[in-house]
Amino acid sequence: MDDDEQQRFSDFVRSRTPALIRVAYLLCGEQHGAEDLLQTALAKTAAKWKQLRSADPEPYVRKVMYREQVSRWRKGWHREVPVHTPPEQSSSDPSGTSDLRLAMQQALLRLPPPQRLVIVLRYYEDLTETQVAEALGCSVGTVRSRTGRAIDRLRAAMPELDHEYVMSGGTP
Amino acid sequence: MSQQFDELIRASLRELAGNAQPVDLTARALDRVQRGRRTSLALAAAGGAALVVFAVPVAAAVSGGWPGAAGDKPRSTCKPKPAPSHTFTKPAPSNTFTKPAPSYTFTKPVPSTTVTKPVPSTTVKKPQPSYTFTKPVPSEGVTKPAPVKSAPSLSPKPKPSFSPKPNPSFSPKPKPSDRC
Repeated sequence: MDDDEQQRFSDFVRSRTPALIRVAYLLCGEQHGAEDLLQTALAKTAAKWKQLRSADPEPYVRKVMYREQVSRWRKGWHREVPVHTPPEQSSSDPSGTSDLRLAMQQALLRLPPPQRLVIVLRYYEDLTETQVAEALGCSVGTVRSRTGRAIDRLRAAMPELDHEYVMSGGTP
Repeated sequence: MSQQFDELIRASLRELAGNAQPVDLTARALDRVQRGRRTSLALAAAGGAALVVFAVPVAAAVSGGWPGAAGDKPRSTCKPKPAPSHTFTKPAPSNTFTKPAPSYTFTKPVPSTTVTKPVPSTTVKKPQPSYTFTKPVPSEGVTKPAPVKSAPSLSPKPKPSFSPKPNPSFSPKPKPSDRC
């Protein structure tokens, strides 16, 4: 990687790190793991930087992050420790919607990594089931089954959801 | 209801992602790339060294020119040695050496002594019937009268003449001896 390519890579990292670190944070559930995951993805992207000269490198970085997270989960990467309380507590909301979101955040952090990965890709990255399957290198049926199990687990983790959600008019 | 639930999930994910602290990973990413290159170079060097350490002696040993492989040479020689030891047992049944011994039946040439042939071929006996001429000799006694005188006059001449002459002449007993 010569000086020009190194400068281009540095510009890309500075401009896209805020968005990429948020995705990494959702995948890992904590800051240090997110930084390590993104750093690994960026290093692998830098190794392929010459081949990505004509293309947008961000989709490649995201795909590397997704697959790296799957690989870590398969290797038994258990550095992640579920937290019972979100890092930042917001003040209680009289309407209860904030409490619902906080409860949902806790439930999301408690999801198993493969299920949380699918939920992040489907609801945060807004990818279709086919795109998620292609990104993770698995079948569409696997994506559907993982998504269904994750939704069931989220519902089961929030038994008060139905009553409060109906009473609040369904506006989060 | 499901759409509202999906919206709740999206809103929760956005808030949760906002907890991530922005950091500058440029220097760390580049440093990891350079460390990876150094590691790959070190691994390549170690691989080359291992290749030299292991592959060169093996190749030299295969070619047979490695002095350090002297320990291998007796191994290779020891293995073939037991093999010929097994062959030593084979020569035992190879007592065929005894067979040629009876083949030395020089006696065969002896029976082949065609000397016996000349014996049956003793045509010498054939001249013996020629001795039958002697029988007429006693007949001389019968013919003592005058006709006998005329006869002996004729017979004695051929008697001595035929008997001794053919005997030595046909007694070519030396001839079969010559054949031997």
